[in-house]
Amino acid sequence: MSWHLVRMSLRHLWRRPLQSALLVLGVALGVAVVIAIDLANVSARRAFSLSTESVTGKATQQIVSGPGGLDDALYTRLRVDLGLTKAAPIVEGYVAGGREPAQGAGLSLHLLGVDPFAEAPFRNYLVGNQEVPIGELVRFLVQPGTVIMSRGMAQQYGLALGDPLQIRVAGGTKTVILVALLDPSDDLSRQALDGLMLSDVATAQEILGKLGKLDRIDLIIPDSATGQEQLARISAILPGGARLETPATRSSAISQMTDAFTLNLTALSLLALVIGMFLIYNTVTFSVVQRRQIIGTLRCLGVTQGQIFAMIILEAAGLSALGSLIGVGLGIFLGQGTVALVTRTINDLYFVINVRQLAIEPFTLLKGAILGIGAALLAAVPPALEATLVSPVGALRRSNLEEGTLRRLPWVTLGGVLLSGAGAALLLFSGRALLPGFVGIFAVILGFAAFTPALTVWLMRLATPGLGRIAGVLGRMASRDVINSLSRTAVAVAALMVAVSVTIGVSIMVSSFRLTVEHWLDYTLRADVYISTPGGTSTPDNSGLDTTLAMQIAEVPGVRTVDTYRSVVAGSTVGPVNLTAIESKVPRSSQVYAYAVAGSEESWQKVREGGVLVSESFAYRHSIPYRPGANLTLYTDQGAHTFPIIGVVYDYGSDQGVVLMGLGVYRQYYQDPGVTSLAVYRQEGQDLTALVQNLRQHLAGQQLQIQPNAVLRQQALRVFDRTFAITSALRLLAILVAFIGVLSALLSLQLERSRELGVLRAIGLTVGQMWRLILLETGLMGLVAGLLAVPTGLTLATILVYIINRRSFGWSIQLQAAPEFFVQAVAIAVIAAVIAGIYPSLRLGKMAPALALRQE
Amino acid sequence: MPGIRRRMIIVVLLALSLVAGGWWLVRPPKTTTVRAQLLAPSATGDTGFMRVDQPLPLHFPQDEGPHPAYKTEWWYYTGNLETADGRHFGYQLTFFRSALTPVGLESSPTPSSWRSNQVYMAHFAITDVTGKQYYAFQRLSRGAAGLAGAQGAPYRVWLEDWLAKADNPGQVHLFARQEDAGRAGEIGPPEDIVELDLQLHSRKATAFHGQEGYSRKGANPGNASMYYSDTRIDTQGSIQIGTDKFAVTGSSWMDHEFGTSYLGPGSIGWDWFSLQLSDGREVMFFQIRRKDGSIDPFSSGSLVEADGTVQPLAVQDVQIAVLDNWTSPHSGGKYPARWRLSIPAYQLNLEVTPYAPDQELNLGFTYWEGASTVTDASGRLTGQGYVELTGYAESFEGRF
Amino acid sequence: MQPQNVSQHNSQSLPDDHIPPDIIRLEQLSKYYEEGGRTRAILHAVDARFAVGEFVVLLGKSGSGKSTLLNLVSGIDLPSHGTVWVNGTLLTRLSERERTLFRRRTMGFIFQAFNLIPTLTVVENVTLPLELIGQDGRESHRRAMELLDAVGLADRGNSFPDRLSGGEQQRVAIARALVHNPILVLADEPTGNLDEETSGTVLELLDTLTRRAGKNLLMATHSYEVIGRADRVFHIHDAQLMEEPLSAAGKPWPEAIAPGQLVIPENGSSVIGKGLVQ
Repeated sequence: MSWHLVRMSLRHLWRRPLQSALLVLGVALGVAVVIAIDLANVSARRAFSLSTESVTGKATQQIVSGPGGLDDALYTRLRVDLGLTKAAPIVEGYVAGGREPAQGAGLSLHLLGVDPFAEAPFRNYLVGNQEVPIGELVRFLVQPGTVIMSRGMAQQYGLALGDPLQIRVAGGTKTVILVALLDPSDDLSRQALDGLMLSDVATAQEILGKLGKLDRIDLIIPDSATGQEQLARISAILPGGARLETPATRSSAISQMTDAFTLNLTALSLLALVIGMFLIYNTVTFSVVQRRQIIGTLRCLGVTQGQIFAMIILEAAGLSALGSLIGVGLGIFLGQGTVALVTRTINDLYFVINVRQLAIEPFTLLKGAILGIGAALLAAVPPALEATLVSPVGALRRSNLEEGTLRRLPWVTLGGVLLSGAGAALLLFSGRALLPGFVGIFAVILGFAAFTPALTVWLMRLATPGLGRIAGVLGRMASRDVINSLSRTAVAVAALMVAVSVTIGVSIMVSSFRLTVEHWLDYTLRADVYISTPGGTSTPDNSGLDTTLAMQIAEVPGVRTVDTYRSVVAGSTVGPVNLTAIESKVPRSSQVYAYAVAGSEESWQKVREGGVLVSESFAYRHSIPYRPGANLTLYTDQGAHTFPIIGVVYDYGSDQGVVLMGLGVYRQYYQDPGVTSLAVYRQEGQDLTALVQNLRQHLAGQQLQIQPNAVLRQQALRVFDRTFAITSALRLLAILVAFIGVLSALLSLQLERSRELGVLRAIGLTVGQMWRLILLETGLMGLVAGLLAVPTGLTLATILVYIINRRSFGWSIQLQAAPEFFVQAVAIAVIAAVIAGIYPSLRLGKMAPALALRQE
Repeated sequence: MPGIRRRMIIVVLLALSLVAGGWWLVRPPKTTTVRAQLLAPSATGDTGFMRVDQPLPLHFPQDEGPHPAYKTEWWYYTGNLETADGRHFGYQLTFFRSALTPVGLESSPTPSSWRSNQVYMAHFAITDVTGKQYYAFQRLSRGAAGLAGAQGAPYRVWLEDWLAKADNPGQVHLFARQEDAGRAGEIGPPEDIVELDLQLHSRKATAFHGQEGYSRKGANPGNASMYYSDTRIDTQGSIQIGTDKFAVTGSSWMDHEFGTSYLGPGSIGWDWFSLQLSDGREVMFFQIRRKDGSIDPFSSGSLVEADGTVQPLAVQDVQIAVLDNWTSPHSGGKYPARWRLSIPAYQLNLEVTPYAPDQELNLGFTYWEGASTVTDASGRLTGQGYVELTGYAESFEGRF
Repeated sequence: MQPQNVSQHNSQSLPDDHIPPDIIRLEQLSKYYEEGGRTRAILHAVDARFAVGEFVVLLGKSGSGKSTLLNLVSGIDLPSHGTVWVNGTLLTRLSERERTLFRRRTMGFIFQAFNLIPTLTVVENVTLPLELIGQDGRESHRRAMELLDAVGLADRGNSFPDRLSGGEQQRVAIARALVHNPILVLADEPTGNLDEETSGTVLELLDTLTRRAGKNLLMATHSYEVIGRADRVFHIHDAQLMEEPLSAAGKPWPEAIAPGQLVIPENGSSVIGKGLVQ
């Protein structure tokens, strides 16, 4: 261990705060993004599993049924006729609490109606393990509208014991009274009880309008012969629509929904780390280049190559440790924002979760920090290696290095071909797996990046005569200089190319997606006014509108016809599905079909007769073939029934997919008279605003959302934009880091060439001409990067659209690559490169030629 | 340059393993049981309920059912049974009803069938004298949605699958079963079944205690209940313990009592005797013990003649001497364990001995209810019955 | 004109029984470079021997291969052909790492650009070679101060090199080159960046200290003042190493040349007198 070397390193790093800061920044950014996204994912998962835990408790089985719910007499039979002692009734639903809740609009409360007398074996928090505390629960049991919340929640809503709270349920506002508090015993319990509002079964039935019904019955069945016998007796008395399920299958089906989404996020965050790695590579390289003479001297003095290698690596390790530390702190800070974004999206698209605070898991932080240090070390190895190759003073000249680079060029290009080939193969042959898809994309991008040196040389050679005509000697010099310093310029060009192509590729994908969705909205949202219950969460709670509403509205003047929709979550042999039953006299647009057994009209007729349509992502998820004979088995109130699948439709509302059936068929199989929403078509010549006015008047006093078509479209697109907000942030980050990387690459390059440039200045090159030379060089590099980014970005967009998106969500998107994207690409690259050339030009401009000449 | 290559490989491996190790360190969050404390004001008390402060006219069969405006009510079955080969059992099956709030509460416009202010509790106990075992179980339920309740016509009192039901007039079916006979919340082995299945047929007319059933227990007229008993009930049926089922016959006693605040202030519990004598007579007597150790003057009882005539017994008519004691290893309560009951007016000098010392129920409240045997000093009489001792492990003041 | 045999020279100048042992031996040393597809010979089949304690000067034009020869002798670079012996060790057979370790102990370096480590203080620069050979801290410090004292910079120990003048920096370099008791000091154009007066001081110091310690000094230079101090003078020309003949005074000429006088000696080199003092 050489203390001199250590002291040298420390002082060197200290004396060059900007460079050291750049390295620390590179690591910190990468680590911060990885940690922020990871924490967000972990928090969301934790919130989900805790809420599941708090709601499921120790139940081993659950009796569930179709959307109509279970008859509560079933529970009485289980208790009185079968003598079951471990059974608990549950009535639940989501309500929106408070006028202006403390955090975030539209936060949903999970109303859980339980029977305190049955709770003890299942959930510990209401009654504990002792006797049911009847004395404390008198108001809870006897008085309608009474609820219990955790202490933290009560504080949040500003409630004391006995205070009222306004809640919004489907179809109205109700008032509840807080009659008791739950004091959680530990932090996890506190989080688990977040968002939960307990009430008696009776109260929940009244508030949610589910009189005579239960949502499920929890059971604890011993794992033994007696247990089996109990199950048999229970199954014997279950009515047609009810069935037994284990809680694990339910919750895992739900949590799997977000798997693709979280994986996409994680991949994006890794991209940030990779870009950070590039920044580290550049800064370490720069610091090696700066110290070549010193390294040479040390080698003369007898410092071994290993010691040099260790010195560089340790510097990188030390700075990256610092960077990781900062990154951890930054990541936690960023995580606050990210978790809000992520849970917002999950709420919008998947299911309701409440995350009020970030779950700061030490393992996540440690993982991020280790990742950062490891990545930094990996990135520091090539420059450290280069440092060891610095010959003791005098022996090796720069030109030899460059000759080596040119000689290696064919190998690098071949490597690029192999890498992109391997990536392409992986993408094509990995079936439906998402992870190999991401690996394939990375391989393809890196492969294309490996083409950069060869293409740079080729383009520069091609451009030289033209440049000579436009810019004279300087022009020719610029292009030759780029080739001469290829080992430096190629790396900068490659990095810029990758960053720009990623940006362009993702932009094209997002805009194609948006255009596809807009187009889809055009031919699916055909009605003029849409009526539904207020509330904007994704979990349908199977309640609904007044069933006579459709008839009422049809009477309103100006209304031509009304479509009726019923959206519920139904059980099937492939897990819970989003089922929408439609009654419509308006013909469907034929564009909506991705595949249909027959023509558009005929298909709809078949649906009315008892077939179903499934959406694209549903078909993808469950591998449903696009040919006649496919079918789907749903658990209806009449027992399991198999429906033929008539066709596959485009639907971008949910990546879980949707199943469509005729309302008549639905009512046949499900005892559910409810209505979720209505679509109103106006008569010819009817003024839209007047119609909306009319409707509002007619339906005044009912808690309904009446929205014209345009508003609904806007909302849908808003959700879309929100979902992709994260990618926008990451794209910006990519450009920023790439820019800094290019800057440091150029600095390093100009430093090495300062002697040569000094000679030029001595010969008579003015400062202005030198500026022009440097900016011309960097501009050329930017141009090459931009030009190469075009095909790379397009390839990337294609892979994202047709492979990644498809495998993640099952949607088909029409790729639309408007030429403006490519113009953008080249422009960004050139501008970034030129701006990056300004600082080195400034530095060199200030340096006196003689000084430059004297530098060895 | 082998040295440098080696180092590079080491660093790369280290870096890769750091990266990989970091990835592997992802651990799913550990889920724990959610625990919390309930914080709420306790609402007990008996204001607003109707009180039995004078004799109430009772009409049957309706009044066999519940009286929801009164706070407390019970249907109390006890009995002594024997198998053909002399194996003796005692049983107790009690259905308690408690009103949480006085009748006449606010209700929402569309009331749920689960809403009720009545809570039912049941105690089921078996004394297996030969097997030297005592079993006691409790169930609790709301009086709604058909889960628990009572009615007079036809007679039915039930809590889940435990019931007392009149299949035919004059014939009552008693049934109670406990499957995992472990303590509440724990699961005992499923073979631990204790089951009671009996048919009851009353041999005598119903006996009304006190003044036409108005049975006072304290100075305040409201410290009273309406109280009647079926004092001699022929019983047959089966008792199952574990995998053994026993055919049994014997005699049972049924009490039906309702009211609000039986005990006056200062009364901490009672000793209650129900004895069936071999000459066809029955004795019921309760003495209410006060905090200062004295006996409440309103302690009373009844002697039912063989023909059903009810002779009231006042506190001075009966002398009770405690002959032995037993301390409960469960609750620490010190209970009397053998008595001499003297009723000079009827030439009765009875010695009452429990069949087993430990017949204590440690459930929602702690009390002792034991099958006992009776001998008369004269030697001419024998008998059996039940003794109930409350307030020894914990004070019952203000609870009943 | 044939290059004179080096060994003959030696035996000419000293009595036979006082032949000092060879500390450095070069045998058929050759170095070629590939440049743009052509092979260029820097050195070709050079033979030379240097005895202990000799002050040897290498003359030649820029790019003639002086630095290359220094690199080969020090083991920094490997020859294309031939062998290098230093103090009985066959340098050309050693691995890169072994040569590095050998170099630590046995050689000191002085460069034209001083090459002090800018992020180490003066005394730290001087103790660096001692740390590399594993010497203990306190002892190193004492020895470093001893040498700094000898070059007259004992009071500048804690300064950083950027605070020192060129001459002062080179003096620190001298201290650094000698601190670890090397066998051989290699100096590549040590006065190249110094003015005349400072050059003189530095050379004086270098000469004195190395001779006092009995070390070999191998200096590449194109400065002719130095020649007067040297024991032997060599010339690299056309990839050959040629020794300058000794003058009658036992010293290599051209100590006696007057300034401005152009002399063309027998061995084909040309020299312009630079005005040395007689």
